[in-house]
Amino acid sequence: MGVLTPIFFYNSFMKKILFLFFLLNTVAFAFENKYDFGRGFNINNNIWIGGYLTFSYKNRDDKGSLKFEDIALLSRISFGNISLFSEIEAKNIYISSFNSHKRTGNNKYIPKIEKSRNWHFDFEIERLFIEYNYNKYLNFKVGRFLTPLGIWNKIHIDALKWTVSDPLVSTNFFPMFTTGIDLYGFFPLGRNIKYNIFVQRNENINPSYNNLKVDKLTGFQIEKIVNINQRYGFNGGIFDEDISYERYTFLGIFGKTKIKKLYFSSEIFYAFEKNKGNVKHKEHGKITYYIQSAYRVFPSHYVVFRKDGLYDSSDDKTIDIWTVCWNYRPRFNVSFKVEYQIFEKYPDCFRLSFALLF
Amino acid sequence: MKKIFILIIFLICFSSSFSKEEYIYVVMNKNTPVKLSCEEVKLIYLKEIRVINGITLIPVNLPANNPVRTYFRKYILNMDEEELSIYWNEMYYEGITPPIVLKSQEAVRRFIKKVKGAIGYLTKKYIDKSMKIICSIKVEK
Repeated sequence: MGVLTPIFFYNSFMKKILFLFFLLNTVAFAFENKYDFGRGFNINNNIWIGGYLTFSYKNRDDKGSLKFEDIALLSRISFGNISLFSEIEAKNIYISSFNSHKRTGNNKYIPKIEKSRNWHFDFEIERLFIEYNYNKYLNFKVGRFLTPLGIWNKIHIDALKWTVSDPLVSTNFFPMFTTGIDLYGFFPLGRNIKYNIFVQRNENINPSYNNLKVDKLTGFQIEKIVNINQRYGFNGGIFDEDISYERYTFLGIFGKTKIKKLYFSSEIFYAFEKNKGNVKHKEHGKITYYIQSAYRVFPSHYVVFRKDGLYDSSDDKTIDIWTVCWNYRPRFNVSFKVEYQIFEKYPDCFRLSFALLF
Repeated sequence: MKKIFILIIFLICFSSSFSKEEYIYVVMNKNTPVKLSCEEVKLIYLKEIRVINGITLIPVNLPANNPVRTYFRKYILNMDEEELSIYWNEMYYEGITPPIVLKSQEAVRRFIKKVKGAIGYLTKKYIDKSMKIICSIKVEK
């Protein structure tokens, strides 16, 4: 057990107490201080509390689900150059699902509507880190943070992303969260070139709340910031997956730019997998990419197109997905989305979502 | 003679209405021991850089409807309101908020005078000896 994994993080009672503490503080501060809807509240620039929530609906192959997907409280407490950041989240709070077909013993479908409802209210620690800002060139984070790779992973919540769905890049090419240390800053000699070097050598804080179970990870990213809407870079790393004893080496490139009303972004990742165990295992590689454009059709209305692709050499599998989404932002912190996804080899998918930063 | 006089008056008025250019100065407290470039000012206002030489930098904004702020956004940040909103939404997820807003140039002047690490933008009449100028931008009205 690593030093960053105190036992109480796994205790759901403690998580509830922590969430309740934040909730009570939030309410108390909101009444006492000026609250800015969508920007949280800020007390003397030292304490900041905010949050977000998401509702979503998904229908695919006559199976549908309506979800109160998440509610999260974010906080940052600063003492000079040191700050403590936390994100506590309740996920899948309410799920109402239905299935309009039922499979029989003869493998035939008969029309039958099955419904289920489920309330679940448990809080998880999504992020928890201490950040130290030393200067322009050297800063670090210690704790559990978003793995600083590419574009999507840093903005994967519904209120920030352009579409309801996530591209394949975000699922199994690298862990979304790292529990370790991240050194970052600007290169002294470069012109606005930013670096990140991150390492994990211990168990995860809240290991069940990550897309991959990883206990060893080393990675880097180099990013050129031309301006805020024009960034590009490359990254790479190596990690050991806990369960399968597989070692992944990955490399990626990414970029985003804005041309008048068009926001354009793309990421490509390649991963090579090697089994560390004694089992005879075929080494294999996989590659994924997405190209996305978001165009402002009217003020506050955006139409988004995305093409996703994946090729996995282990089973010679390819996946191609075409996504079209309408994103309406009546206010900077509110997003309504309607999305349709066309899968080349699987049933299509329809999604709706409502997300809010509060 | 009268016609020439009227013409001269007209030309003066005409030329002054078109050459009305002003400078906006990005300034900070004189006792803050850091040297900054105009490019770094941009990154400080976007909070990509938050500390230099151990000193916490505190960028301050004027209210959203202030024309000096509009010029600053246009000429230094090179961003429109929509781009800024999207940007600050992304920073919100990291718990980083936009610069604090002070209600007038006079308030910014007083704040910079008092607080080490404070950075603001002002027109010429608000600049005094307690500040150092990081860079200036020429704006044409």
